[in-house]
Amino acid sequence: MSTRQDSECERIWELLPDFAVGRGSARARASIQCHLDSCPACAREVRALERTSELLNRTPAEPAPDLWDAIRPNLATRKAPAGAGRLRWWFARHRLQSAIAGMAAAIAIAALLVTSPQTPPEVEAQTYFSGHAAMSWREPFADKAGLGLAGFAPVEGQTEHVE
Amino acid sequence: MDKVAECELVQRAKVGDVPAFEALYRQYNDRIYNFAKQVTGSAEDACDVAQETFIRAWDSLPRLRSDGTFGVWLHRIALNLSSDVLKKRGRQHAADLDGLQDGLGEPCHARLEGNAPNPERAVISTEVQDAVCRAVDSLSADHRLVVTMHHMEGMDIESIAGVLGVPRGTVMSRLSRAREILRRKLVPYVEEDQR
Repeated sequence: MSTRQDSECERIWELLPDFAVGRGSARARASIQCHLDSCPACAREVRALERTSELLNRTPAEPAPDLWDAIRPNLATRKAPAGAGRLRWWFARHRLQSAIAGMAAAIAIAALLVTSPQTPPEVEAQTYFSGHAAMSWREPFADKAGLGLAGFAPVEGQTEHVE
Repeated sequence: MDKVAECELVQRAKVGDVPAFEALYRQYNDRIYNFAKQVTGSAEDACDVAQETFIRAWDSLPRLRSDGTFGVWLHRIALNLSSDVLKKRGRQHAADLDGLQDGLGEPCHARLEGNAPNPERAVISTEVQDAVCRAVDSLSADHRLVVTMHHMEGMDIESIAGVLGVPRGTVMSRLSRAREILRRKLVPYVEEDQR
């Protein structure tokens, strides 16, 4: 191996640990990869680093003793928060009940709308005449203007309201 | 357990559902215990820290804003409690984990009885596992923590950065250096001509 190659390998070796964990810019990584393709020694070093990771991944963490029996008595019962948070707390705690209540309310409203009595025609007519009278009070043509029917000017002398 | 299921458990635990919290405890107990052990260097302290971590988590859970960050948040509690233990012990300033001495506590290969091996992991022999554990134990605390969290607990870089309160690049850098050190210490197991 030439001296030039040695110095290049030294430079690459400095970068290999980062390269093995996926660090570095795409350009730097491409440059390292290019070197690895032509340098068996550096490629072997990368494989050793990868093998180290593999060994670490396969080494299990120690199982902890079961502490639940010691923890459980220390868990205080949650109290419902005050104010606006109380409603949220209740809905979060009673999620299923909330869903059922919501569905029941929706069904009740729908049933109410379907079964509510229709307004009789005579009541509708009475409502129309009441509105007409109210709008034309002191102004006989004001109701037509209000309804967009005004196409003519009021005749002089007819604007006076007759008590 | 996927993230959605975990968030669901966190939401239920927030409003006082103890079985949901127990499920979270079962999910995280090993990780929190091992994490605390790596920081404190003691199995006994790790037990105390893990227990207190879950009790505090229960008390503070209603104040956790993002349910998806439960794991990181739990590790943060454990880290603070472990730092308190170190402070009480007077070995070093709690915030300075970097200087934790090598081989402070029990080796990680002091496995508990009844540890059912993962079939995938059982491929490597006990001898190799012991060698890996010894090598990990010999790392400095900051290196040991990232190696344990990333390789043994399977935490991603982002989560580790969140727990330790350091940038992502710092975690990557520590991981990279730790692996480099371990690669030197594990020559018989990682070099091709040695295997």
